[in-house]
Amino acid sequence: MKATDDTRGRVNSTTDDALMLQVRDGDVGQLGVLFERHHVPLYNFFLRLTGSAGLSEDLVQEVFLRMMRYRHTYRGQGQFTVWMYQIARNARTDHYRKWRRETPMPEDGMDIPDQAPGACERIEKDQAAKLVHAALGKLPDDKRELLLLARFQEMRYDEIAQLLECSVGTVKVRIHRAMKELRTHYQRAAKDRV
Amino acid sequence: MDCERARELMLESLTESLADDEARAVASHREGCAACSEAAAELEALWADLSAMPRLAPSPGLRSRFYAMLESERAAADRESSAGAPATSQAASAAGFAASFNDWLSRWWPRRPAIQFGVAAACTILGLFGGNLLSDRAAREAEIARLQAEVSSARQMVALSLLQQPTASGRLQGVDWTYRLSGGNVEIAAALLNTLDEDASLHVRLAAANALRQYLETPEVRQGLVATLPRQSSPLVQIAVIDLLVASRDRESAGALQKLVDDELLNQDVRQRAQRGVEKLL
Repeated sequence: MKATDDTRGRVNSTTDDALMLQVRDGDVGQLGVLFERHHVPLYNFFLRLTGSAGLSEDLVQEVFLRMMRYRHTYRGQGQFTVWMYQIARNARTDHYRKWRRETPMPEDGMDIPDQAPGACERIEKDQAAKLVHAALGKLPDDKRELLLLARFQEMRYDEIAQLLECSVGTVKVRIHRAMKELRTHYQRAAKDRV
Repeated sequence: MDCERARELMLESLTESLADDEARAVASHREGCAACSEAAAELEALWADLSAMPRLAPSPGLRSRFYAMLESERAAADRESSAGAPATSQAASAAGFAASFNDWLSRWWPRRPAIQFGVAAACTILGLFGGNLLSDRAAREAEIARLQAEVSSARQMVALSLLQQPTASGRLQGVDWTYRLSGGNVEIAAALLNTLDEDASLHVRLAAANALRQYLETPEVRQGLVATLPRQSSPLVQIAVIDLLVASRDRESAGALQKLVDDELLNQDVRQRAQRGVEKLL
């Protein structure tokens, strides 16, 4: 089955929460709308954490399979993002538990696509993106995940706090620490490139 | 304000706005301290760069695999809901239908003996006439049986061939085809067990596990499920196989489930499910 135009056309017209409630209540086709909305951010979340495109795709598939299988556990109350990332974190943990090892994120493993129109600006942006990526790769797993959730996935601090089962204040403190460490690695990476 | 405090506040300013006096003190410190000013600019740029990292696109295969999974899950859900209709309500509706049919028949059945005799004679004549027409019924039934066997054989061939497809979506279709065959098909059961054991895709293995539910009466299938359990690494598949063994009510499989319960390295959910399975089987 392919995504229909109708399915894609309704993107953003209904909240994620309402769609997931419909899936829970038997209209499982609505999971397609949620897939269209979230599979790219989720894929990038896993990609930045694992550095492996193939594994990231498998994990995205796993997240949506679990959403389907455990749809009856969804309680609503506007907590879809937290619920989805909880499943995503569990899927990744289960994967690593299975293989009993951590996969380090490669420093230069991903191609950063060109986005800016000007050549100089583009090169500078490429360089900056690669340095940030390299610095992120040096961070411990939990700090990398936290920064990705806060900045790359644009989750609110209260959502992250709920996901990590801690207070908003703790989230901020952890972000500060992660940023401090990221900056150190960034400077080191910049020095190595020169 | 010293440099250390200024840099702490700079970090804090990323996640929350500082109080006016603190913000003024940091700004004033930055004006007078080139190193801190540079550090602050770098930090702000890094903070901005984090959210500006480019989003990369997954391969188109991800979308097709998702929709194949969705379709397969939807079909499984449909099958479960149709199989799960309460038996009591079916019995009640059958009894209601029989009662109303009797009422309808009794209204039409003639009361006078002469008319009853006439109807009986007409039925006898019709029966004799129909008997002649149906004299070659046995031959037709044999032909129908032969055609049914041919269709079944063709379906089996399609299912077995699809199960060997290189793509996961192709193999999922193969699993789906197995539902069109009768439950006692030994070759299909063996192919499904093989898929459950060896397929590289988690989703295909899960689909194969679901399809094996119709073969639980076969002892070889139950033995195959017990044998595959320690070889499975995905908690989802492990749980699916545990559920199958529990559904088979095969007490001999309780030992295999107990081994899972005792394995402390195993996923907690799997161990709990195995524990519940052991309790149900014993």
